[in-house]
Amino acid sequence: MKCTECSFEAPVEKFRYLYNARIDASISLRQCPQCQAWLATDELAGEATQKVGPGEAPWGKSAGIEGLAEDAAS
Amino acid sequence: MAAQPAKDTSTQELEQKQEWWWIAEKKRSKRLDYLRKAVWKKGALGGNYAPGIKVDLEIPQLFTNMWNFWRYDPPMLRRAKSMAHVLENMPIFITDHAQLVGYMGTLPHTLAWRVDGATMVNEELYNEPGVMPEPEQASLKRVADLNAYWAGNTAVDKLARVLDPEDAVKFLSGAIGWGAPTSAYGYSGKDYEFMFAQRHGFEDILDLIDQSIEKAEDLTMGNPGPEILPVYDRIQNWDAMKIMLNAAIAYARRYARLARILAEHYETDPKRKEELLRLAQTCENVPAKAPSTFQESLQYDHFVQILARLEAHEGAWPARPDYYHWPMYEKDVIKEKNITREEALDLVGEFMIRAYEVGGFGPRWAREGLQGITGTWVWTLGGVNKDGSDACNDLTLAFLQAARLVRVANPTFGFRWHPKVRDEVMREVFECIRHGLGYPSIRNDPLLIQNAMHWHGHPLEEARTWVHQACMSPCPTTKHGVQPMRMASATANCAKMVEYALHNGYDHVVQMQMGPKTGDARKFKTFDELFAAWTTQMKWLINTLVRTVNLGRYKDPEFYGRPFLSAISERAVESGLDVVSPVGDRGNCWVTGFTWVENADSLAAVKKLVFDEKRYTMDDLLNALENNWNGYEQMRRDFVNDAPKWGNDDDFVDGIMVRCLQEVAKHSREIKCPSGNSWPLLPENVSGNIHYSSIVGALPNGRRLGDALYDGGISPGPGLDKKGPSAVLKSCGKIDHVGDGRAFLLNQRLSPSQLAGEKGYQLWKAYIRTWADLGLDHVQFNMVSDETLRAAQKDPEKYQEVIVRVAGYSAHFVDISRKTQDNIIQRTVQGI
Amino acid sequence: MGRRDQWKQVQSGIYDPSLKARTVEERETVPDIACGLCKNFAENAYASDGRGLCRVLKIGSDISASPVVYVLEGEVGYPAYFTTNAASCTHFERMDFIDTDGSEVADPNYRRVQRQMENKFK
Repeated sequence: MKCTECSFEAPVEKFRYLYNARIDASISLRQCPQCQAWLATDELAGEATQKVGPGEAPWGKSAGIEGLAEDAAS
Repeated sequence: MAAQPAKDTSTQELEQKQEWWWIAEKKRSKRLDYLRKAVWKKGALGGNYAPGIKVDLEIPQLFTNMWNFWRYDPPMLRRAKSMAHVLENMPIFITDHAQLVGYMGTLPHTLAWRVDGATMVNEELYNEPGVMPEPEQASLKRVADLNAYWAGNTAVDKLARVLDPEDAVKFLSGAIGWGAPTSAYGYSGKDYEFMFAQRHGFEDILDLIDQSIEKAEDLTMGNPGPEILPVYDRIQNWDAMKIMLNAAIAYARRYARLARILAEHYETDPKRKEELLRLAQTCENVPAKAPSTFQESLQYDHFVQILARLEAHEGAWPARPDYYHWPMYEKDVIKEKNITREEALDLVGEFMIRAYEVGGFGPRWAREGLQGITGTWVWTLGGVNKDGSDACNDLTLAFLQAARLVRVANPTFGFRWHPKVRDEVMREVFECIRHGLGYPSIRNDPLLIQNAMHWHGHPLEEARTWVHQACMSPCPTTKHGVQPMRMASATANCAKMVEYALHNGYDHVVQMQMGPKTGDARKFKTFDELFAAWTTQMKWLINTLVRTVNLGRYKDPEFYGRPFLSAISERAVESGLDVVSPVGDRGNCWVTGFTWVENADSLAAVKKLVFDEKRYTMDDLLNALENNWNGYEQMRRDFVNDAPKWGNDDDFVDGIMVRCLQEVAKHSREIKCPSGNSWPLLPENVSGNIHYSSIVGALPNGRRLGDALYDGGISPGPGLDKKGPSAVLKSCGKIDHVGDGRAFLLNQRLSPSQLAGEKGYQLWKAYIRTWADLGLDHVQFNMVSDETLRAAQKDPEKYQEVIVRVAGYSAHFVDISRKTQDNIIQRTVQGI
Repeated sequence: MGRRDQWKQVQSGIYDPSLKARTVEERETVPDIACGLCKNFAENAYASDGRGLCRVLKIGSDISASPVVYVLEGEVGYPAYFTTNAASCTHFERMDFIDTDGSEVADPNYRRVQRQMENKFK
């Protein structure tokens, strides 16, 4: 896997696993051991997709009555 | 606070934007505004204390000096003399504009340090970033010296030497439970009936103690015999209680003197001068005498709380303020009209702020498990009187209204709902929820009264006095019903039950053989084999924790000693025993079940995908779990999405949930507390689901080591309750909320847009009716939109006052860690 | 050795009484090769005072002895502190990344939140 921020490359498990905000999705958060950026990671593809900053939620909205609970990140 | 809205922004506009905190600022009095902003938050931000918050070293030093001096005295007497020295010498202060006083530190922004509680906590404090008072080097030296004095001599050290060493090591691994088995840290119930209902001031209690001593002396000065021998110790205990009561009266009168000096020599504003003189009179009167005004009633209560917290680190605040302060409120506000309702509201608001101000240094597990707060100050409102009539009154309304004005995250309220609650009260309850406070939680009063009678044999009249002893557990406030000390170490990290069942009792995180060897799960051929292993691990885990607490409770009078708590408890005043002694306590124990629902979802996933459908083998599963699902993502998704999940009214998994609870309930009756009563389970989490996220290994419900556990109690996994709120309620309604456990926490997230206006209130009220009809005992709500919460993550300065319900408590959203924030945002927004 | 004695040994290893005698200087010093900097050190999940267990060495090991005693089989890890000098331990593996951020939550594998560790990485 390659860090989208500093291009550090290593097997996915070398990136510190942080958490998966949405258990039914394959996007988890991992941390680059080199630049320490929090990375959205597609666990199926084994790829970092983007750096995750404050308020960002690449895994999407809350479940439930979407449209009533609008997501700032969407 | 940053970025205030434009001055001409109307209340209506703010309501539309759901920026309730600005509305609160507009509506509250100048005094409340000042007092609210004068308090610095003491709860940890994630796990760290806020910049500027320092540990108070003066009180531990004063205490230690005198503790060392009186080293030949028995525990209660030694503590009483040491505490009296603290109360006589600790610096005190009065906050500008305050009408209530008392703090457990010598400066406003300090954390109390319970120096004699646990060496591990003392060592943690030494290593803690940012909390040492300046100059740091001098403070470090002082703390190192204090630590050297106490190392090996704290309450926990003493208990650890008596505990079975295997239990001690496994408990202190941190994998299976938390808390400390000592009254140095715990949840002390207060005998409100004795102090408030029976109207005993401290001078009255001193008279009672003198009478008890006189009777005892008839024995000790009479015919010799073995029966009089224990009486000598009791007399010493009574002496200790007297020392504490006298010291407490003197401590209050130091405030009286300070207020008088300020009024007579420094204050130029005549109105404030009058307030200070009234404050002086208040502190002259209480706690020495029973309160005779509403202000005195609140001040008496606050002194009691502060004094108890100077004696021990109390992690909870059991109280029922609308019930016990009602007589003085009714007298001053309604009957005699000595103060206006607005003035009373100011006092109520300040009473909450004074509680919010309280902070003590807690170990990191407690900070992480109670992010944003310093303890679970869950005050009880509503409910019924002893005769079963509605206890809600105008003070209930005042507390609910004041909560929206001061918007503190601690204390919060638990509301005892029953069918006779008036609509006017329900509307105020709903307004608090609508304003995003996350409280009150709603408790099913008739059901919980029945539960208290079922599990602990409390008589009906006593059961009806119940208050929240911590977040959730009801406890009477009566002589034999009050539980003086609940030690939190019977708090089980329940996800380990299924983890150990799958790993033959071995813990791969703490690297230790923890539970019994229940067999290699790879060789299990049937679900019943797995379930039998789970049952064995469950019993072992609960037994280990309960043994620890039982011994802690039994040995506590010897290892710690609570002279003040004893002095305010009728049972101890009468018997001369330390109130923490189990003698005379009916018993009101419970096992808090953190991370519980993972058991049902995990067992259901294994049953369905391995044993029923045979899509995977146990080998496949164990390989995936041992690799933390790395390289098994598709399989992980199958375990999440293709296995039924709790909270969807699906009998497959709901049946497993009920079966698990019934196994625990059966065991709860087999194990006994020191009073001989049962230990029912109470599933709930606070933010323990986050604290344990990197301590619980991968599980068959699809979580990895690191993922937040579910938010607890019987709440479905975030985002996994896909069939709507009725399905959630129906799943939860399959549990017998009387016989299957002590109480069951349910978090629900609702849409603020859907529940706007009168229609919203009616929808919510109908929901509550269904909830009650299905026999649930608890529900609490978050009603803040994704939009606001994500914006608060992005720009925390601007959203400092957004509050969310975590689990069993509320916190300012910006004070909880990112992982906790995301976990809350991902909870399903239910349309009702 | 009976069950109770075995666990007593573990208990005394984890709750080292020699802590009592440490000076401020001793408390403040994190050796350049310290257990707290090693991948194999797992911080205790109950206390964040810096105690922990080794994932490789088991109880009975002694990395301060000369020669070092390595026990690799057992049901409980070797107790150590983040400040334990690991210069003589051949199993020492320096961590690539140490998280000293105390605003998140417990992570025995990666996180070391003690003030001394924070200062070491400043």
